[in-house]
Amino acid sequence: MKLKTLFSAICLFIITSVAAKDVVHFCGYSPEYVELYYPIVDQFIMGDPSMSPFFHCPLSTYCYDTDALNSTSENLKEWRRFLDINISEEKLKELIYNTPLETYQQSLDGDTTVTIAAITEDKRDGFLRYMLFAKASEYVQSVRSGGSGWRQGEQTDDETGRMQQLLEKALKSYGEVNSPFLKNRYGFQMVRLAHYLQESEASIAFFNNYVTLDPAFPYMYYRALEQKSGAAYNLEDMPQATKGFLDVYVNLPSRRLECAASLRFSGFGNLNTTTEFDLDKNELDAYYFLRAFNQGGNVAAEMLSLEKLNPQSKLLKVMAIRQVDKLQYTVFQDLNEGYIYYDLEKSDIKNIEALQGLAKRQLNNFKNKDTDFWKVILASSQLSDKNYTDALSILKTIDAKSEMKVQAKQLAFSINVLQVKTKDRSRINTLFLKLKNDADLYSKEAVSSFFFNRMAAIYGKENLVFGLLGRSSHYMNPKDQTWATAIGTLGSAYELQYKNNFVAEDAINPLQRLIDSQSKTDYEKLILKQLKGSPQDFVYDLKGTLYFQENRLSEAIEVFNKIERPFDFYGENIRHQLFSGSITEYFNVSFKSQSDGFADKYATLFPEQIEEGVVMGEYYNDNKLKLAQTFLMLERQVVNDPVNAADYYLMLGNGWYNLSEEGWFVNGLQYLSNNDRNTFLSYNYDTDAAFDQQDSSFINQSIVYFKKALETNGNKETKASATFMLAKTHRCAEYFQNANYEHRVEVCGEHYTYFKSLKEDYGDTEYEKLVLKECTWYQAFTSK
Amino acid sequence: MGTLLFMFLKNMLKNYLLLVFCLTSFLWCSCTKNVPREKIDFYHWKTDFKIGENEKDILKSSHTEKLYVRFFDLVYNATKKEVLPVATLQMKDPSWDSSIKIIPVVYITNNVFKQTTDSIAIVELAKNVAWKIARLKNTHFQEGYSFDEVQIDCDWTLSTKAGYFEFLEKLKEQQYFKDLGDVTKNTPPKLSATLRLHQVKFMERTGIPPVDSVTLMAYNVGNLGDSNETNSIINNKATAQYINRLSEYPLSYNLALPIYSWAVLYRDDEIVRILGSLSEEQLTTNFDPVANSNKYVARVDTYIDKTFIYKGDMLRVEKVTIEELSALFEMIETAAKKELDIILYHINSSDLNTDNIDEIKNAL
Repeated sequence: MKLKTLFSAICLFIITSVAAKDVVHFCGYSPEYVELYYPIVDQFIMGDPSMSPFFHCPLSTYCYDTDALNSTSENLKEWRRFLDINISEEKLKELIYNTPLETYQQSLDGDTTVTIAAITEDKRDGFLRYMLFAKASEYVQSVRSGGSGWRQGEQTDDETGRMQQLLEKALKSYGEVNSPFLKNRYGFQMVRLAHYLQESEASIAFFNNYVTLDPAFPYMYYRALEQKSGAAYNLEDMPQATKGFLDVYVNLPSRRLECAASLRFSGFGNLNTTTEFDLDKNELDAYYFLRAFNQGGNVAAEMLSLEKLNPQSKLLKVMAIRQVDKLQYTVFQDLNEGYIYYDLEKSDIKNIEALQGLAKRQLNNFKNKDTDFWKVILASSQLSDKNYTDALSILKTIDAKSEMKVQAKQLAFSINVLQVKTKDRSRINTLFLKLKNDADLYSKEAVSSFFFNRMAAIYGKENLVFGLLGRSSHYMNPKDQTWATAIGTLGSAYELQYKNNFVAEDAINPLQRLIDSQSKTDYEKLILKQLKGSPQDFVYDLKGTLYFQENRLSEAIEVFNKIERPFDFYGENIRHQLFSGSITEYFNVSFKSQSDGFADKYATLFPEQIEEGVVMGEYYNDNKLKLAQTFLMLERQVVNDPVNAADYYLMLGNGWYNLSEEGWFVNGLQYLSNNDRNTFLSYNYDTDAAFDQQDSSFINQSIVYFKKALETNGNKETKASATFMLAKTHRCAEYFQNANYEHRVEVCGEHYTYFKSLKEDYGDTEYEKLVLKECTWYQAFTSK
Repeated sequence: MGTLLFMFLKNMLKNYLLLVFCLTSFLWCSCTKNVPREKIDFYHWKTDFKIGENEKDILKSSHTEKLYVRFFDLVYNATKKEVLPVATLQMKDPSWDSSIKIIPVVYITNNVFKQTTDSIAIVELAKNVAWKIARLKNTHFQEGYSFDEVQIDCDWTLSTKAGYFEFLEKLKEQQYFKDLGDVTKNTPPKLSATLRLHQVKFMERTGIPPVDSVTLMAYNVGNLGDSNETNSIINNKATAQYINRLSEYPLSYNLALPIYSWAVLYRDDEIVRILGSLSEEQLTTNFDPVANSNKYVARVDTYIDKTFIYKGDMLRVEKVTIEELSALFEMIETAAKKELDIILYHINSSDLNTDNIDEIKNAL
């Protein structure tokens, strides 16, 4: 039967029975902390594994997913000893946990076709009968909390009756078996069933009368004690409940987490240990620890109490490494503030001072056998006041053969990283080589990522792109990572997707200087390599784009021509549709469906055609070189074909508009697709974008050309189009809402002026009629 | 980098202007509004379903049409390494006005979708959730009762978005789910989800959940861990920074507003715990008020609500005043550019009674 499930059900009951009503669910933002800090000093290596749920895990009361949570092995160990059988762990597990009830029954009925592991005759019958009983009671649930599993909280009267029958059967079976082992198992079932039936007094009585502590088989005794303590809690007998939970906490590692949770809700912290109940030394040890852990107790004071009681206490060591990890949370951060959600600079100084005092006393205590552990603690605690020199000195004294040596080495290296405050290239490279050549260092993700991200932040202050390329993700937490894994996530920072931020002299020039440097360090070479392609091409693409955006077309063409592998950056052709206009833009439809097709009139100027599917693919990167050349060509056409000058200016205006953050072809020169437009438009930064025209060089360029289209030779339809586009590019609107929540928009400023001109000067054009049909703002304007 | 700095400063200025705009807007609205809200819906968040006389009166005078009842929570059980329900709703005395529609709500911790990532497990999860709601319906509701809507409450993040959204898709597909609605008309219930403010502001990054509608939760917006925070439950200044794109939100939505209180305990500027129940007597006996604030300093060492409190510890009592609630509502409705239905969290709040419900209705 699935005892594991059964036992988990019990534990969950106790937790939920006392906790459910006090649970607070926060509805605010739940940030993820994985990228917040670097646990250089590893609690899971330094501390007792059986205590791992109680280590420090930020944002979580307990550390889950640790190896200490398994009670199966403790149970199996006792069954193996009782049955005295020599089978593999897997087979034993199959026998106890995964064998169906029917199989036990068939075996009990003498069905020889059923295979049950070889159990001696004297134990076979008792074993099978008990397993049948346990299987039948596997899914019973507490009347109060509803137990666990998917049917948690779905208790029925029928089920209550069944539980009462099971209790009767357990009592009967207890009397029928002779084995103390099986008697204790039935005893446990009685305690549990009575507890779940809310027969608390009976539960306690069953424990007192039917369960005994057999030192050879303690597991089930403590499981029963846990149940009895839950019953005592229900009777509000807090001393008895607390002592019981503490006893289980001390003696049954696999139940510590659940007992701590139960104790949290028993409010044990205020009980007087001298008058209300007697605790032995180990229970008192746990009492002090848990007061600090989950009763809001003073950590420094409880550490001193623990030290006084038992300087060798393993719980004292847990408290120490918890404080060290909390300190790491504030010390080992990278310098990139964008990744820091919490400001924990105000650490608990009193606790750290107490920890330093404690560590020093431990080191002066000749009885102390964990000298190196406390040296690491003392060295770590020195980081609170940036006493790096003393910390490094202490770590140096740890012997090369010590179990703590690797921890000490990793901590010392990370302190060296902390000491780097400026872009000291030589020093950074020395640290890089040290990391690269020492598996003790790079095998730990926190250490390698701390180095890379710290250095990336330092470089990033003056070289944005390099700083981003040098960032490393550090939430995978692989054990024993290789060097390849250690550098595997470099160059994957999400900000690198937003290349539009790099189209600036401030970003391009430092990168170019580094590329030009003849004395690049190994570290710098590795980071530059993250660009995958040629760094120089990368810079040329940015630089050419910058010139293009500034309408310095000849310079842009010159730079684009230098790119050796242009198709790494953009496609082969351009989409001439971007020189057409549109009245409305809906970005979830193709441009063509909105386009006025104006550029099609001049199709001969755009001889290269692209496949239809590609044309309107929003992710297509138009060939920037050809695009710049086409812009120049259209400028020349104004001179070559002056009769239609307005048309060429309109196409140039459309081109700039469509390439702007307002336009459909934003990807062309701004490295962003339509879906990313809102980020680009700074919507995320609290601007009321719908009514706020961007101060954009693209829009400004388009305005220049639309105005030229108005002022030069051309037909009336073209000028109507230019007038409308000028209204669009001078967006100014006020929003009104009446008491009935009906909306109304009124244009203002030059937006109004151009609408007025469109209506009065071009009211007889086809284009104006089209605008009237498609543009609701214009409809509102004309209907006034 | 100069360009980036300029952009940052520019945006800061815009933030400020937006805030001024929002504050101005709701002040204007506050001055002009004089029609009390006709209808308010509520959340019921306790494990034991309890609608006492006080609650009945509140529901009646609020013309409540929907009661959003938390049915159970889903958490990741680290011991069993599986996702399981806890705190399932207990309805020993299901006496409520049957004209009020019950909307089941399932709260799912974000960790569930950190641990449940593969499609098979997500389908299984969806099936189990639908099935459990169906069983609870069969147990606690009359035969033929149907749910118009089912709501899922989960503060998903970037890393859990994919799993959570897939779960929502699969939930709608479950026959158990479809049968929660009116089977005679073959009408499945609508599926709604809760929405946090950051999920409005960063809607492209956090995604739009595949549901019929959402409930915007306009509370718990402050930084609970920050001792300098003034009120983490309601913070209109912080909220203003998140809502300017609300009218763009592509799904229909209603609004959840807070009406509850608690006290947050700090030691050395670090949060120790939230005290859910703190009497006036406990407050005056053990704490000294800090002038012109909602903060108190412990005068003596004491032990309250299962928590040690030491002399010098700081306590911040967080409440929602009707004025703040009104301002919050006006600000959000202005940003939404439409009239919003309201759900108050929660019906069992000690801050809610028959004396103040009319005042709340007048303010909203």
